[in-house]
Amino acid sequence: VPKPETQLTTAATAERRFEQIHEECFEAVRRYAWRRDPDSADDVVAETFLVAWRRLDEVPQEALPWLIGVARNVRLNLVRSQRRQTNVVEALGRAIPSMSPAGDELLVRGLPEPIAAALAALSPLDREVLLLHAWEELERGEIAITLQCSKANVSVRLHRAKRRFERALQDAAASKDADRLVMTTSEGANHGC
Amino acid sequence: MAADPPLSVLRAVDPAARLAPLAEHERLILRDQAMFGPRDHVRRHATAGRRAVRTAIALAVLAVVATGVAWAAGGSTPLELFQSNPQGTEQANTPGAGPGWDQTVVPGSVKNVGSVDIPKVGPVSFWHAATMQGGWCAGLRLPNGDWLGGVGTASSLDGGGTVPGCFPTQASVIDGPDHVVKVSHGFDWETQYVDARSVGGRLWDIRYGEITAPGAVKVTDIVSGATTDVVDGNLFLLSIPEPNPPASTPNDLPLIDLVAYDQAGNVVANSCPYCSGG
Repeated sequence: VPKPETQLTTAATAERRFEQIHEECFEAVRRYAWRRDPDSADDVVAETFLVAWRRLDEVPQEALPWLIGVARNVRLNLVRSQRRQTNVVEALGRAIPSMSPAGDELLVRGLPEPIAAALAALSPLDREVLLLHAWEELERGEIAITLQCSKANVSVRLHRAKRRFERALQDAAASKDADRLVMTTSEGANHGC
Repeated sequence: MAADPPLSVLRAVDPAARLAPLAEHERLILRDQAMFGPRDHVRRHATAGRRAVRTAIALAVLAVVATGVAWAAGGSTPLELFQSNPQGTEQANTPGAGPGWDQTVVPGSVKNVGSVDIPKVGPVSFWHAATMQGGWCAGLRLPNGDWLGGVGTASSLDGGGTVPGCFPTQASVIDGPDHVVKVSHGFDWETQYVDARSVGGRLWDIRYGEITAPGAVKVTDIVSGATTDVVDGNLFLLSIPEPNPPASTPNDLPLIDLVAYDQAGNVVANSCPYCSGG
């Protein structure tokens, strides 16, 4: 049964609702933005709630997935904007830091190497689905709202992302064990000498 | 580590685990900064609380427009208007607008649905078209050919409202079959204000659009009593008189609660179920 659209009958009602949304969701949105890029988090959060205020009539009762979806778009726009600026700098022949199309190197910065590598091996959307589930603790239906895709699509991506992430970690661990074995053997040989 | 479930591994390295909550007074400052700006003034589905802001902004826009600035869509034909799609252009430049605003009008579907006669102004006509993506296009036109909605008009009659152009259906935007939150109420409507006070008339709110609930034959605003027949199976156009500001303060503007009835008089859609007990 469809739920009615939230009705904002007066300015006071709108303000109360926004205040409630802000109180309930601010930290979650801030954490989402901070996890992706601490440097731009403040800008992303501010822009997200500006959009929420302007479009308060469209914010669903379960506001957080919608807000994170907006934050994600804001962040991607910011990355695109930075890339445009980067292109200008490149045209001027100046040295600039490299940046992937989605700015994803920011996401994995500071994570332990095997985990960063395992995340980097996923497609951007699979990675986003996995992290929205793991860090933002969103369920599939909520992720579908955030990413504007179907719940079935989220389920497929989440299952695939978990499997690939786990496999990549196992490969990394196996590789590390192999390295350790080589090192131990080598050290043993040295000791033997 | 390899034996740990992926979620446990990721949560153990959550970068935000060490992020302390923002001090409450700082959060409140940020909140108030967000609320300092105006609420949406060109978007769809205005409600009473927003209309005053919209009207104020529209009047400010009119002050600029009245100086002689004419935008590109002024005087364009309905097909030209929908092809230029000012609404889609605006949405494309709005962060967070979501997908679906790149709509392409089906040229053969452009039609004049009908008109409402506004005293001191004359007939205001509702033009409609389908899009190739399954959405729809809409615009209201004054008797002199100007389009309402802040695009291409220097008319003092334009009181603001939805920018004309093409839209994805409300259902495709926020009511997809796999979405958890359903917000459909049976209407996909837009709104425009015709401000006839400068010619001795009054302020009018014109609601128009599609009814997505099947079987509707009549639409009534149960607050004002204004009523109209459904046209072409699912389209409607309804003019509703507004109290003239400043006789009424903005927040006292009455609600508009559109209800659609089927042939037997049963309610098949209600745009605002909690507005007036309707």
